[in-house]
Amino acid sequence: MEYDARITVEAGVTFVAVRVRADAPERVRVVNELDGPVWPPRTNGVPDYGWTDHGYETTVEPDAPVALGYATPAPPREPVVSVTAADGDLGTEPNPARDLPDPRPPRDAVPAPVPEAVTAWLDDVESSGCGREARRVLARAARLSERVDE
Amino acid sequence: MILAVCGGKGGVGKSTTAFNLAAAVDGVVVDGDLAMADLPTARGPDLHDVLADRATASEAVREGGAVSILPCGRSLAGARACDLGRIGDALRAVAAEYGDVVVDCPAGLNAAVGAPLAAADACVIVTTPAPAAVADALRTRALARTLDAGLAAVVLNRDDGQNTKRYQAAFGGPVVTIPPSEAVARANEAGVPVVASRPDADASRAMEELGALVQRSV
Repeated sequence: MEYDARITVEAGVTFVAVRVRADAPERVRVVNELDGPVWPPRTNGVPDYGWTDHGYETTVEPDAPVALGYATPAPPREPVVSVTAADGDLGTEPNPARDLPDPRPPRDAVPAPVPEAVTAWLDDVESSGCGREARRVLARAARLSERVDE
Repeated sequence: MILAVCGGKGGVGKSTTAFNLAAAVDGVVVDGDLAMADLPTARGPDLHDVLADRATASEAVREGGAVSILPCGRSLAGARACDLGRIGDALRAVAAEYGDVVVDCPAGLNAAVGAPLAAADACVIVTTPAPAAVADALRTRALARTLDAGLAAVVLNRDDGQNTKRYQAAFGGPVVTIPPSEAVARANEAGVPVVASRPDADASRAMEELGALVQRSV
């Protein structure tokens, strides 16, 4: 069995990508060696099958290398992960929140929120007193927002 | 006790049953339909906030109405932001503080049904006699079995009670029949449980019977 690990750092979060290959079917355990918690891939907020607090466990087939990735707030260093042979099943419990279909509306169905700059500007107008100008602007904003809703 | 009211098919009376059952056992009803909630709403924190970790479950419970309720938000953005992995802890927190919790599950066989079922001590499955509704109810029964949620009762809604034995055999649990009722329709329109507004109605007696059955079985 052989493996390689790559890391990228974005906004203080370290993203780890690991690829594991094997010549014969082999049960492997990938353990995070960075100094921080593993943030695994999740479905409905529940870590995907095979993930634990420390890493991931799976079976690697000779013709199907396994690729996996996780995030951690820990800074990068070497070694990133250790990959060892594992025995038996990790025992990830079945979890309906992860294993059943996602009931949430699709991302595209959710209307985009009003941009922060616009709400900040409206707050400014509102807090700058209720002068004639401010009332006029607020009335215009309300009319525009009605038109957007239509 | 945490009780999940589910049934697969939409429109069979899950929400009405959950609302009235909570009234009958003096518990809290939780509106678990994240995207299409239909129990009464209220201002302030709701289930969307609880599942997005913006509020605790007990903060979101409204007392003082005919039935204590943990309402659900109405916005798609709120539903989108929910983390269903949190619902088990939320239901247990409400049960620890208030005793009996009745969850109104959505239609379908998705994670919003499975996650409350997994946290529940037992389930009540609601169906009408329509074959399509019964088929979906049996699928829900199978899901409940795999998640170890025992069947407290089957509610056969809007039925004349002629075939109760057949349903008992099919579901493997007690069947409570709720007759078609004008009183239920009026109570729903007014947003109150029929067991409170018309305790003498046949449907109210059936709901009370359901409450007693559920409390005996769990």
